[in-house]
Amino acid sequence: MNAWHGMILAAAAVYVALRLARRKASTVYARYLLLAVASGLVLSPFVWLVCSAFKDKDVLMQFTFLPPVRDWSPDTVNLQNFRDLFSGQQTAQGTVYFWEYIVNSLFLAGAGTIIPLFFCSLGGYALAKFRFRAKKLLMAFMLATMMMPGMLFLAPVYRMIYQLGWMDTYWALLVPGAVNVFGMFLFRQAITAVPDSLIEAARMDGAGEFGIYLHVVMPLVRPMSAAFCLIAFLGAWNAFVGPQVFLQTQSKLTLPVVLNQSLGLYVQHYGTYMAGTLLAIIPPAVLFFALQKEFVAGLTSGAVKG
Amino acid sequence: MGRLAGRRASEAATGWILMTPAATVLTVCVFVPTLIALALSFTQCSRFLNAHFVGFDNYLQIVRDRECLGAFVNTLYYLVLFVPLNLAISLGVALLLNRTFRGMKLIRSIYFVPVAVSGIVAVSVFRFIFHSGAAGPVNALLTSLQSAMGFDPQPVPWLWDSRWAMPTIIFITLWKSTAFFSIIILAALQDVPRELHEAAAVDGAGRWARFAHITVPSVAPVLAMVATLSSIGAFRVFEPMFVLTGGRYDTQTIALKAYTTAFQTGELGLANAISFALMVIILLATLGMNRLSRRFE
Repeated sequence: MNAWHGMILAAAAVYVALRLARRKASTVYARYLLLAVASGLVLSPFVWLVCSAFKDKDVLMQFTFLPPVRDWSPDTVNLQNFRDLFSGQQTAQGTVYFWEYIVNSLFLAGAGTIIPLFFCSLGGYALAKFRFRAKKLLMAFMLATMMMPGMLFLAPVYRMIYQLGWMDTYWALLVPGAVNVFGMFLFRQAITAVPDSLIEAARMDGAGEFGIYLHVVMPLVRPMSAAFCLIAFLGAWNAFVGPQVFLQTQSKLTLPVVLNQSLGLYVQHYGTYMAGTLLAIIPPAVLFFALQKEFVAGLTSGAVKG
Repeated sequence: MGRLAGRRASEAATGWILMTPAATVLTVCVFVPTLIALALSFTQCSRFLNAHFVGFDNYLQIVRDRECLGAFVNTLYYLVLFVPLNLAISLGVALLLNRTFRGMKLIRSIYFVPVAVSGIVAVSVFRFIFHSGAAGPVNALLTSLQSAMGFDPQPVPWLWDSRWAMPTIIFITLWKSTAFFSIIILAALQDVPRELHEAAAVDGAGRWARFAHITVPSVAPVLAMVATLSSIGAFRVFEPMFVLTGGRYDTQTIALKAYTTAFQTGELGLANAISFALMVIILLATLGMNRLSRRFE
């Protein structure tokens, strides 16, 4: 009640202050205010997530965010949720520890970034700088696949994986994920801008075609590579349908699948679920902030001027 | 001449050799499965066993089946709300962010956070945020607002009600998609030459006139791209519904229906027919939009 009255009063005060200020200045403040409110809206789910992860089970439902600072104690704000999370989960297939899922996810996302990076950049190089038979047809096919619903190939690929004996192995995820059509187009776009004369000069110096790709082309499209790595990592880290369908052994699962599994489990004590979620969003967030500049530059150079 | 022809041939050979790894994976994991899926869509078949040809029966069943038709209607509902809102909010955020003043870098980073964490994990957090009980954060806020204004506190069953479930899901998906698209629009806005705006201002063009006649036309190709990409995404939407409602409360979409038909009821023929129908719709919609946006340019 009082909080709301306070907010209404504050809003009124801001309004009066804005009216009194010069008109030009007031629009600047209005813009600031709008931005601040909107970024609060964008960030609030994270704030809530972090608060829930550190709250004790007993006070989880009592406070929307954290308890007031004077009530802070090891009984209300603690690491119990994380301790519960890492204490091992009893399953039909024995005890599985949470860090196993983290390792699985890190491995799959890492491999799921590096393998497509190689395949897509090589393919993009071929599409950008070489004329060969059926290239137009190939590109039309590639464009068409971007519009296909993923469900379409899931069933036939499932069958293929089954016959290859790759069920419940990481091959089932890494092989179909090795090529990303969108990524190949991104690389094609970036490599088209590499001057032919550089490639020609390297060829005159006797460099092999693969050497040109590795030592001339790739260093020149480094921003796009960074953007691609980020996109591929986010995709592989968040991948859900593939791991859900192809993996069966509990200790081989990845974070998104396990967290979704435990969604029903933890409804009463969702603090544990939030602790797991918090850990799951940290790696992509760190990578995103490290590569943010390259990401924006790479993505827009391909998309906007395309 | 002979030398040139030889070079052409070797260029083609090298091109194909470089293309081979990607082309192999694409052929094995995408092209061939697509053809198999097309073939299967004309059969009745469960778990790849005893498939027999049934002609267009599966496609006819889509039109006859209430659940399939419902899924199409739900997807359209999602699309009609999601695409315009996504475009408007992304453009609005990009315009707000397209200034340079102190602290702007930090604010921009905040807006891009949802891109970094989007995915099934982030979406499922919203299940708790929109919890139907009074303890859910959104309802806690709502009920305290209601009682502050003198109404009876009435929590809303956000994701557990046919009226509210789809709008709530749209809000959640907008939260993450507008972050991504505003990055792209912002980059386009920054390429608009400053001199254009200044010249127009000197000529006496107002704020709105400059927005309508300079800003919008210069980022129009990007806006068209955002509309196309988000429409394709909206047609294929699957994961938010899968996690948040499981398709209940009128949120079953075409892609989700295809998934459950294939992997829960095991009717592969019907599932593939649904996927193909969806693909044709997406293809037509994309072509139509391309036409439309070309007319505007």
